[in-house]
Amino acid sequence: MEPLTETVLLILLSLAEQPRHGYSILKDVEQISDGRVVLSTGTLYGALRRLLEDRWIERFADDDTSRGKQAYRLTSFGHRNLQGELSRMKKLTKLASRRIASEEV
Amino acid sequence: MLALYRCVLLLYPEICRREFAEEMLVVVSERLENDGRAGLLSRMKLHGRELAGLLSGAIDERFRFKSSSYLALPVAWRRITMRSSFRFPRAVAPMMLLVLALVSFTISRASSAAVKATSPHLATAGERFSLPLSVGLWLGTAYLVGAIVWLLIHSLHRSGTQRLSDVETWPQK
Repeated sequence: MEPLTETVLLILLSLAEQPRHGYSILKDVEQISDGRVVLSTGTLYGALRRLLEDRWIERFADDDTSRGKQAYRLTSFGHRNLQGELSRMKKLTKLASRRIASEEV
Repeated sequence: MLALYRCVLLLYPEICRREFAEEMLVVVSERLENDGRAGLLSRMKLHGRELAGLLSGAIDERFRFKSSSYLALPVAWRRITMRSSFRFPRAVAPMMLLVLALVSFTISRASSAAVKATSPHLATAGERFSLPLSVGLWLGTAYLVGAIVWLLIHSLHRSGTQRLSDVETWPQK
């Protein structure tokens, strides 16, 4: 599995908490990245389309379907892969910390 | 303003448009409603970001189709798939054929001119073909060959021949 881009990772983290609509994902990504990552609608839907195709996320029949809104949520496959990616990042961070620490000594 | 976004969404492949266009318009309008009330500069930034995102998304979708949806696409959007991770842009094939047709046309004109100069009484067959006809013939032939190859590959795919290498000849312990 290829490492996830930051954008995709943030989208997945946003959906990991709860199912969300497109606009809600945009706002949440902005919030969890402290305003550093501001997605455009085109970027968001490009990522959502690929995640849907790869079955990482799925459409979710939410109560709020006003104005043609569509909610998305993580699938169990997506959840597993996200956890795998996070543990890969943890290992990498640990390794980097060790290397930097040994260099400082 | 939404009409402009609707026009930009027309640049997306039809398969994407059918699936996401309305939803994307809802998100864009929601964003313009909620975030587009600030000053002129931030409104311009918002529109710029949204339009740039939609344009780059349209280009991205045009040049990157998953192989699973390949057969569902109209013929005009199919491209040559070399590997799962790499695909030629669809413009490459017609451009190469066009160049080939032009080269072949130039060679035939040059040879007929040479024959005409040395022995003018000989009629040359090459002169009967004009440039558009020559290009058309090349493109037609190439399309026919491509269709035959595609049919062969498709029939092999359906019969499962390509999976023979995956067949387990003895049980794994």
